[in-house]
Amino acid sequence: MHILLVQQSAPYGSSHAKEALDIALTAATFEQDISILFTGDACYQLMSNQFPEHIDQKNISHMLKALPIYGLEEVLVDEDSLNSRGIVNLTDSPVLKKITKSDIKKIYQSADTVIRL
Amino acid sequence: MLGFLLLCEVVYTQHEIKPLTLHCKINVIDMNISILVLSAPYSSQGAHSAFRYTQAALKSGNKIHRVFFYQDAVHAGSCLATPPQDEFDLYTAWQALKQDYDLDLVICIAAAARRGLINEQEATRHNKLSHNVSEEFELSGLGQLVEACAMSDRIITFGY
Amino acid sequence: MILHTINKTSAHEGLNQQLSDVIDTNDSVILIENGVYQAQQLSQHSSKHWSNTAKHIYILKEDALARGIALDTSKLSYINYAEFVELSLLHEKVTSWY
Repeated sequence: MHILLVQQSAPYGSSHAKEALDIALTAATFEQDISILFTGDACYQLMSNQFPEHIDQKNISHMLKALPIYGLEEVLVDEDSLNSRGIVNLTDSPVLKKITKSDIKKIYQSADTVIRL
Repeated sequence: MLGFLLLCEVVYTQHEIKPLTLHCKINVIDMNISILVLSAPYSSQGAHSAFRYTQAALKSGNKIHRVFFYQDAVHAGSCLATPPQDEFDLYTAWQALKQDYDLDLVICIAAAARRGLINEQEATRHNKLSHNVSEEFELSGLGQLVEACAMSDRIITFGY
Repeated sequence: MILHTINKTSAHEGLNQQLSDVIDTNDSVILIENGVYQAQQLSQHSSKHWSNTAKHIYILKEDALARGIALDTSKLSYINYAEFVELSLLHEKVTSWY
């Protein structure tokens, strides 16, 4: 069962981004076959130099850095979403892989289950 | 979890938007569905749509593996919510559905705790004055959602 | 073969665009909740819009009736919740756009 988890939310303005990542980490812990895709405003989660302690929140990029430890070898990022938002400086992670719109369509179609958060 | 469809004469039209006629009942054996609910009762229609979908699935004889309440949807488990008498009470509706069909209603324990929903056990553990989760709902971890994804033939999300 | 649900109006351009980017010609769409308002504008879109790619477009009857959308069955497929469930099982998976 291949699960596609699609992250859509910018971090910190709501709990959605963090709660979506919690599912990804849990699924990875349970050794599920998952792919994670960051698209739309979720690409803001990948920016470097985040200091959310200024607003009393935990740093979401620490969770992102933990993904490889949980067995996630690849984190997919919508290239168009990055470009349209002018996001250049990404958090340092060896597992980020930029993909195109047509790649995204393929992974949606091929997954057994899609959960968008 | 093996399932197969007995499909007869489902008539499709071409690309135009035209009426679809389901000519006969579709018998689906051994397929089960899980539902992921993300939005709170009253605040968003998604909470109600999830209930109506689940109810329809059960009435049609389908199997519901689990209904998992996450993010603001954890409020569905409140035993203190009190809608006006002339409004639909989604809280008691879920409780009744659980009782009629022995549904597995699971609320994410971490999301619930953050939002002030705790059961008796958690209240004792955290030294809280009281508890407010209905007995029909089980508090559990995201592992239950992941298990539902792995074990269900279909999982449908009702968002906000 | 995906069954997509969408619960927002056409004003949510980003969401509708994402669906348009992902949808395939074997996929179908159900308009639910506020998404049923899109029923009144389906003929107004470009060729790349999801409404011109979807194999079938369904509208949840209860949501349409709630909102005063005329049930014009000559043009659109109205379904109830039981049929929504059946369609979920007919397709390989359900993807929710909200």
